Amino acid sequence: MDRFVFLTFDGLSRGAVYAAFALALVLIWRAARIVNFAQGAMAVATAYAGYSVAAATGSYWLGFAVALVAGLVLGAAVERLVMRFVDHSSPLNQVVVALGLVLVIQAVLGMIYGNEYRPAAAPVSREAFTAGGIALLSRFDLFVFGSVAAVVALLVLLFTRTDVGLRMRAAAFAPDVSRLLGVNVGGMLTLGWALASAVGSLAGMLVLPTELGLHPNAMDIVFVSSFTAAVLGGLDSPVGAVAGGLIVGLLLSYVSGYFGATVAPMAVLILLVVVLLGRPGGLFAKSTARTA
Amino acid sequence: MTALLEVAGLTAGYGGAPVLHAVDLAVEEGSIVAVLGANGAGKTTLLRTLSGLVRPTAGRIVFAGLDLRGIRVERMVRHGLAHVPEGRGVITELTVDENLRLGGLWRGDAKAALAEVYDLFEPLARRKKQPGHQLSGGERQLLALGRALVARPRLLLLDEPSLGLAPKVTAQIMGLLRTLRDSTGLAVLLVEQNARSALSIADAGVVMTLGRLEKIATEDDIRHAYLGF
Repeated sequence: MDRFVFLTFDGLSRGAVYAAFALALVLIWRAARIVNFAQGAMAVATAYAGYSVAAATGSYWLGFAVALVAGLVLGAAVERLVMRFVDHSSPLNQVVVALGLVLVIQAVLGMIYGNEYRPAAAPVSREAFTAGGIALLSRFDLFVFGSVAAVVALLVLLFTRTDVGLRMRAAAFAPDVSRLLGVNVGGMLTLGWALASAVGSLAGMLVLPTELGLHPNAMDIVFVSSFTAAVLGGLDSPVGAVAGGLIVGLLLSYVSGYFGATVAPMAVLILLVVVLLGRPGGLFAKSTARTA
Repeated sequence: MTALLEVAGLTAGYGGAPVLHAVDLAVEEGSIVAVLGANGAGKTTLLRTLSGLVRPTAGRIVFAGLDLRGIRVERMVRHGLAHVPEGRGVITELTVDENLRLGGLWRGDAKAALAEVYDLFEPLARRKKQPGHQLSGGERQLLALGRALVARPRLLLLDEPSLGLAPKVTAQIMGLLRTLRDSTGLAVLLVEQNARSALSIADAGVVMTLGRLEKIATEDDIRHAYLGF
């Protein structure tokens, strides 16, 4: 039982990060109808920027802020300088370009920082509090939960309570109609990419201290888990992304804990296949249109 | 008198294949002009070109003295030109209220216009919080119209408002357009296949055939446009 409780808290903590990363994927999917396979590489690039600043200044929090701002800038730049010019006649074109971006970003990071793992420090202790001898959550886990909850709350507020959020949703669902209504669809698309990239950067900064450290490929496995989370929840559903992230986190934790860490990636892939076969729209997909 | 909308020699199409051929057209302030024609005649392309969604390859579009060529689509509504596209363009994922608010976001403060639309279209007021996909075809058409009106346009480009609607609902919508014209001075360029409905409220009518416009005067013109003889 102790082990189960520990694995549950561990899974929820991991899941919160996957949820944030899945949310980033959902944001771009909703804005541009593409799965941004470059999200992981972009997050790593901004994490390198953040940790470089942290190392140079001695302030983790300054580095943290720089990583998020770098995420905003990188996301906007990728949309304005690359994705906007991709032929949209086939969705495959954007996927191929995104995969190309992964290779470019990882190669550039390797050239600048080298291909060995670098330490990625956590801002607060990762030592878990215990209750009755059972390890529960650490300060860092609480930081992760708090950060992800804050991001989710801010995004909910943005999309449901502000004019900008309404414009962004409209531009994503019906670009031509939105333009006719005076919405600057291109601007909303850029903003969507920037926000998604910043959320991805946050996820990167939250997950890297729990993994092996900074490396150009450090987010590859995280991407697979988060992609599974996004598909599980339904690529159109922010709520689904959060739920999917938590489910995947728990699954990984239980499988790692009971069957060994080497089996965990397999479990994620099996879950992905099962979801795609059984409910390709995701658990939170809306069915819908009135037919009469 | 200078027309609110003046179109001269307008040529446009897709990927180098022209659909509109040297179209001339004028819409006076406070008038309804019906554009009739069979499927594929170019009616929708005409509206899409006027609102900037399709770029013209030749010709002139002057609206309220302003040359519209080169003006971005999202700026058109600020100049008083609203376009309700074919299929109504209701964003079904958004609620009725969100769809309507969207129509006036560019104005900054559209509360008064929004309230007027709710007064005009009571069924929408009762369904404020419902998503667009739960509305009937007639309600969606009202929503699309209402959303355009929130912008307080001078000219409404309306594409096939009767599509898929029962005759009774179509008659209500046509009546509403007539009321708006009479009470607010709204001009309407109405693209329709339902010639009888459109001409029942139109001040003038034109027939589009293979991308060319001809003025109509008689039922023979309409029969020729639809049946080819």
